[in-house]
Amino acid sequence: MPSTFYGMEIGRRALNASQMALNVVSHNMSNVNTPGYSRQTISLSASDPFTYPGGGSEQLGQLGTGVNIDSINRVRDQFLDQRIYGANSTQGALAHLTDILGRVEQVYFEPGVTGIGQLMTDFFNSFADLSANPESGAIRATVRNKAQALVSAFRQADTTLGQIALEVQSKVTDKAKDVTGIAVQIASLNKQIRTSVAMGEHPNDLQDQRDALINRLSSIVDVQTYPVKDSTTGRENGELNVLVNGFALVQNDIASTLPSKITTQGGIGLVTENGDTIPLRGGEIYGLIQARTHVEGYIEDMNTLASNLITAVNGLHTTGYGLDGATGRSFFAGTGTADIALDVTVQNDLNAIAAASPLLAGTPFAPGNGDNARALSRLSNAGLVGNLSLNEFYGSNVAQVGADQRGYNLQAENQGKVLESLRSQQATVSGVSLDEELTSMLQYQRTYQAAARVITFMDEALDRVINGMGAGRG
Amino acid sequence: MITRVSTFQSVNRAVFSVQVAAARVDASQRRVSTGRQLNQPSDDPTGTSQTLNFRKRIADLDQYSKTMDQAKGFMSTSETALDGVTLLIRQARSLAVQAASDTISTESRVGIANQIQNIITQVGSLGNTAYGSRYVFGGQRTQTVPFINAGDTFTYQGGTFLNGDGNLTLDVGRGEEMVTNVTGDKVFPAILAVLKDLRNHVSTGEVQLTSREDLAKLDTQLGNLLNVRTDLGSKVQRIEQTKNRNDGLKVSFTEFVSQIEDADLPKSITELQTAQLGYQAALQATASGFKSSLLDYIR
Repeated sequence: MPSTFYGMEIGRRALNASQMALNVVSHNMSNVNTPGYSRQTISLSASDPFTYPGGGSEQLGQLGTGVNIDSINRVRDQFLDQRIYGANSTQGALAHLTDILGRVEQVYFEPGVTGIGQLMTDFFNSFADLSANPESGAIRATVRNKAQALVSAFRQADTTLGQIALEVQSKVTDKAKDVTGIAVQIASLNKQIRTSVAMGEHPNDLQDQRDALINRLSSIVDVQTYPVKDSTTGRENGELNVLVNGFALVQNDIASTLPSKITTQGGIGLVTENGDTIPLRGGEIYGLIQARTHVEGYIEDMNTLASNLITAVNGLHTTGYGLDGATGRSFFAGTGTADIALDVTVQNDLNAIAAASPLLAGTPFAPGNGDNARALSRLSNAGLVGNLSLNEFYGSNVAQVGADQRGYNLQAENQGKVLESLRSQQATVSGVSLDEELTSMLQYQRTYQAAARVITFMDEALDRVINGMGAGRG
Repeated sequence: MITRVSTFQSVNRAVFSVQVAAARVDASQRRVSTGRQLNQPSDDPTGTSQTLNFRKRIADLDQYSKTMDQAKGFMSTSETALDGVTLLIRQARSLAVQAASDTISTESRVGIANQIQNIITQVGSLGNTAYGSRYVFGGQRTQTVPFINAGDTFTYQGGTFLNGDGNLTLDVGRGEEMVTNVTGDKVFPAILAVLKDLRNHVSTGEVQLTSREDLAKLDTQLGNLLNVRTDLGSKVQRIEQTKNRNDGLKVSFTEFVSQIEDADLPKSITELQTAQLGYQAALQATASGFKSSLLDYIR
């Protein structure tokens, strides 16, 4: 026989459960705009039944005892998370690649009249003008001006590209610091979550916070996460180990410092203090280093162009004669983009520009000879780099820069769609729907009212029993 | 199965579609406002390489035209000078015919001899014709007076083919050379010698020699001059033709560059309108997506 107040107890449990459920609904609605928040659901079950000890009769069986709150869980698809982390890494890399290569593209000023292509053409064509008027100081001055413009353009491109490549290291250092900072936060959350789990709780919001941090982390470096199992019980203890391709960034509640020393030997990576390489396959740091590799390639191409120009022009120029009748002088100084300059003699004396070709023995110097200038102007179309002319080689370089950038742009665009779709899937699972919560709210509101009604009814029944029945009345 | 839709999700989706549509509008707007579809290499890498090549070829054509203008001016000046020489020889020839008459008075002969002397001086000075600051008949020695006249002797001090400083060569096309000058030593000394003989024969009254030899020699010189002038004339003509051909090529190269670099305006404007329509649709969807909620229906 249950106690007199048995029914009231069932009602009380129902009131409790409904109130708790309404709290969960309210929490969900409050966090509708919180990034990284996963909606929570309350898990209810019928509480343990009361076995009726009724004198051997088997007809009564067990009597229900009402509702029990099991747990409050967050709704999250861990596999989807993993896919989002991967997509984040790809997106993070592409964001920096397109950003840096976009800046690189602007360095070339192509197609246009101020790019190195046009300046080279102008320079060689000024030699064609000189071949028609080798005596003219004005045209010699033009040749020198065009050469100066070309030299400046090479130097400027070299400086700007070099600067872009240089910035990468400081950016990587900053990003590595970010990673370490996030790792420290994850480690501390690991500790809190482990404690909470040990006490049998569901630390939903802490887990959300940790997932949000890993989400940010995965944009910067490609990470892998592994749940930690308790060594004695063999069950997951709530901790999450975070690895960067084998490098333990977070282990239990200890965070490591991500190094910022770059290596590109045998793939892109970072070098630890011990000299070990952490390979990278995605993320912003990977993108930065990858972009630098591209930029270094462009600088190398530019240098090939400049050094071939210098060699070819000087080769002819040294054989020619200036208006002063002297020979054997270079036109350019330097060996590449970094140090290309006008030869000091040419810089100071226009007559040193060797427009005249070598003379026959015994023939006096002829100022009207422009044959060497003509030969120099022809370098413009000569196969100087492999079988390509300087302009053709330069054109293929610019096209390469454009093609690289275009490729990454397209990838970034597609990746954006992939990421959007994954996030949408995640939102489908974990996102809060106000309509849904409002419906739940109505549902639990009614449940609460019903439970209250049960208690009221029990109260009335007991009132009848206690105050309206039996001896001693009136 | 019914897919759950979270509130945040539809906001994100809306923002994403609006951004995609806005980016599309921005790109087409830039094409229309700049009138160019190739603003940076990544817009069309292959096109960039092609357009750079064509730009180079156009610049080369411009340069060849410029060089040819120089060559043409130089050769026209030479031609005009040689025309003058031809006229002077014709004058000398008619004087020679007059002097060859038996009945001519001594006074007249002296007068004719003086006129021939004048012609000699004029021919000599035509040999020193300059184009700008360059002597046209001095070969590569453009800054040295080609002919100096000392006493009765003209000395040529310009460059010669034999010495290797005779030719002024220019590139008038890719791998196309043109010798743009005639060295004075090939034309003037012979003419001057004939004229001097004529003058001497006239002043000494050797009428037979004048009629027998000098007239024939003058004709030979006229013939030579005609050859030289024809050669120059045909080169000038070749330049004209080449320039015309280059202009035609330049038009088609410029056309290529324009096809690669410039936006097809009707097409771009249509694209812009389509993009704007898409943008408006995205905005519309965003606005109407938040209109209704269960909140509107519960007390």
